[in-house]
Amino acid sequence: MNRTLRNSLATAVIGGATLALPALALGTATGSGASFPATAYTKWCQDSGLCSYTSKGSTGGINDLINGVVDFAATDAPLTSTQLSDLASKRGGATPLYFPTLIGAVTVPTNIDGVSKGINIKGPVLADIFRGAITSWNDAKIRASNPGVRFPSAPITICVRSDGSGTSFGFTSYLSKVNTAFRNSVTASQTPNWPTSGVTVVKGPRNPGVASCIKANKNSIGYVDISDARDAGLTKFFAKIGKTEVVKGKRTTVYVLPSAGSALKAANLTKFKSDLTLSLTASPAKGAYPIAITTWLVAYSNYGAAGKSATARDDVKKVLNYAYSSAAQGALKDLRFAPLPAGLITVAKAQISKIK
Amino acid sequence: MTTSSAGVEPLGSAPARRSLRRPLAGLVADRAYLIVTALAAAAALTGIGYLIWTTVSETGDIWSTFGVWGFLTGTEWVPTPADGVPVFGAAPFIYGTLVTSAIAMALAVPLAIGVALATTVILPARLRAPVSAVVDLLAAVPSVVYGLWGILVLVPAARPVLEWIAENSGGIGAFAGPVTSGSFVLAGLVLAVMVLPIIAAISREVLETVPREQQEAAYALGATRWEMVRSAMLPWSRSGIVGASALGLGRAVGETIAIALLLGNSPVIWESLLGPGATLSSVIALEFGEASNLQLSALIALSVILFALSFAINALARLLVGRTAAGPGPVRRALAGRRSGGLVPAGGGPAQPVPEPPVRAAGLPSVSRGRRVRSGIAEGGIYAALVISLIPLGLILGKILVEGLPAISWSFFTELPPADPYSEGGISSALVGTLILMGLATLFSAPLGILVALFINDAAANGGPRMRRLGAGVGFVIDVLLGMPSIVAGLIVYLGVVIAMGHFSALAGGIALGIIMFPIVVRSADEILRLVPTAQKEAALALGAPRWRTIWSVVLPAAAPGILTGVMLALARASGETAPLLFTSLSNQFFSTDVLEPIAALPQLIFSNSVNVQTPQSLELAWGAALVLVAVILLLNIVARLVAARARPSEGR
Repeated sequence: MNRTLRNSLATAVIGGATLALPALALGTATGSGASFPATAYTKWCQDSGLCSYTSKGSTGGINDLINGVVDFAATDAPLTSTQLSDLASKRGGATPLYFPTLIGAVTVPTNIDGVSKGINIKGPVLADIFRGAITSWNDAKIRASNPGVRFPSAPITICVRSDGSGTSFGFTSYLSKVNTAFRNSVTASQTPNWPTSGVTVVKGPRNPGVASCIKANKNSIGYVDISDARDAGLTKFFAKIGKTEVVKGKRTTVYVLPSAGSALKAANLTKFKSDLTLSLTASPAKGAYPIAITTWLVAYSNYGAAGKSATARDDVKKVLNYAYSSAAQGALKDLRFAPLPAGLITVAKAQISKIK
Repeated sequence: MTTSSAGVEPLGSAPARRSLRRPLAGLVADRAYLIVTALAAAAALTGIGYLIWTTVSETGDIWSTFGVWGFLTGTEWVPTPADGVPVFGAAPFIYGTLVTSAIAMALAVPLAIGVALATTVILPARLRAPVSAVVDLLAAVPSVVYGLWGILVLVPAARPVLEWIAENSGGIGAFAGPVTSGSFVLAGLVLAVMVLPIIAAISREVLETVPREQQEAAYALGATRWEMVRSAMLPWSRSGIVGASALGLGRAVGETIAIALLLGNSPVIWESLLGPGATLSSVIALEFGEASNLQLSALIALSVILFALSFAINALARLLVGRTAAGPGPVRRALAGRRSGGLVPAGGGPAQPVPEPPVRAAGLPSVSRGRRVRSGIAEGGIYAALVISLIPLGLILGKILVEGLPAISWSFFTELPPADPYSEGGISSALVGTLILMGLATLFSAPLGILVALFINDAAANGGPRMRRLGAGVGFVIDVLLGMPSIVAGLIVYLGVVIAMGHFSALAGGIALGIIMFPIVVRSADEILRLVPTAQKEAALALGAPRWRTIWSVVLPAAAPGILTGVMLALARASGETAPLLFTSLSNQFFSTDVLEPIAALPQLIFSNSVNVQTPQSLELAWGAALVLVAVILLLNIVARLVAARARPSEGR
């Protein structure tokens, strides 16, 4: 498609709208993407007045960044190789700069007939459910970790994302690490290949869509961030995820409840990959929740080359500086996220000056 | 007699005018008038054609990879497989669209016909107008509000019933469990509730075209009321009612937001109707924002299929309506106006009241018992249809009022939506955003639409054969555009405007809504212009007025109220749209009046505060916003109707 033609047409259209209303523009950056941290970003933007954020899913945000229609994107998954090459070819060779912002837990709430609390479940068993290998709540592997709980012999409905999602990426990354069959069939992906037979799969848009799916479907299980789960009233149905820890010299299965605190234990790192794309899932650290993820704001390495204005670049820099301020990081606790460790903040802040 | 070399053909019926000497200035102005309207038509069609072409040109990859037939019949939709070889097939989505629409039509059509009959003949005369008004009101409620009601009220209420069905289905695959929160049946139910008022309202107008003489003749032959309906009214209006149903079907097929909320989004075929599925429009809405490369191509190809399906249904509706015994005039006008989903600019005089069955004169043979029973059963059935229809419709209106009113306060209009779902807030940014989008959409569609209507109706129609063909061609393109599902309008504006500008913006949202309004404006203006009596035009021309002055001083003033009504109804339809805004105006957390920045809007506010979060505060915000949106649309409809009623072009048919 001829871009000059397109641009000139667009200019003509704009020219036609000479009746532009009196502008009352705040100098704000527009961002879109991940729904996992959306409550935090919406609050940051509102508090600082520096940006406007639209939650549409990580993949949608990355796509907007590739198409150059936003100033920054937000994602819970690093760009795939296809996304990187699309970005480079459409945006003048731009590469993404990742800015981690917060740490959160992907919870696994259930809604099982007659079970009024969260269940205990081991990672590999969870993976078997989500790849369609375990199809009934009455399965021996589920009962084994929940003595005394009466499960209905009802089919399992799994609630997953209808859109491309970094939460899906974090969740499936974890399940892929603990279950090879899952890795080979469903895969670790923003858009995993959920089973098409065995279990009933219901897809909802963004994290809140999955939360309301769990709430609305009997005998269902899904994955969602803490805030959205809480908003849907699912807090007391969070599954405790079983992982192996060494207790008093013995390998023991420990069940960990998701919380900002248990997620933060997974981020107790001292070294970071140079591009700051750290993976926190399946952390062996004591008491660390195994499905902890971090999430990033993504900026272009070079705004000019990407066809964006210097104003947009400066607006985004302001947003990033605010994200690492004590005001922004301090606001996270109420939203059930964990702030970044201080070491990570220092490294990330230094990276802001790399934005050209 | 010499023919004017200027090429502007005078009206055939005024040959005497040729001998008058026409001032040169008038000729030049007439030329200019023709050129301006032709240019308007050319500009509008080129612009929209360009956008459509930009979009369709992106589908090449999908046809070359899978072949047309392979894509249409492909049952797998796997955008990101483990082995990196994606596969795309349209069949599950075509299936989902057809199944949900079929469920909706099966439920809605009989009920709608019952409602239409009740409000024309069966109900006591004094109840007909108020009941009709309620039905009309519901035809104007935007689909996002139906979606909101569907998730929050219908899904929980229907669950026990559906579970009972699943348990007692005896293993019939179509009704097997588990019952999920999104399913074919739920989506079909909400679609039925959504299209019922549309079909009922148009059918009512079709029934009202039945000549009084015909009804009286039936009564004179001793028919009971039901026999009169069956023998005099239904045969007369059959194709009109089928056309009305087809228009409802067109709406059902293009519906996006309610479906995306209530169908569960799984691309399946031949699975349980109580389980999840997906439709063409829902998959486009959900995946378009994040698709690239082959997946993008596939989604655009789906939108081409959707457009084609919708066009075919609309064309069928027009064809059937053209065959209505009543003659196309009033019925076609009814349908043209109805596309707006709102109230009709009733072009003619007030409808003739349907006569009451006469008191049977003594001495006439009495009606046999069998006939009386049959008539009684039939009338009972019609009453039952009315009651069954009014229950969900009443529940929706009641729910909006009960839940929405407590939210309304001064601060509700002055505050921003809250950043976190546990705080109270307002809708200031979204209300202003919606008003700005409405203004932009009107700006883009109304002036151009009126010029194009003048071109089709007057300039081209009175030109040479080539011009007439051109006018007919433009008219056809407008009909095609009438069938464009709103999600497709959003998609073409994203690809052609948002990406080109490098930013989501209110402007792009206004263009998308403008594209939805444009064909409605053209069609309704065209219908109104037809009503301006030829005698008035001829009188002006005979007095020596040039064509442009005739249009300017005679035709437009006479048609202005009708045109204004058409614009307002188109606006009412567009202002409730959600799907196209997702890809164009995005939304904005802040109060903004900058047309080059993203902007908030009421339908999206309702959408994101009901699907996304369901805290008491966010739901209150959503219901309050729904009430305000319905009020805005209702106000537009009422004003439109008042304008139409107060000053309509004088009777000239």
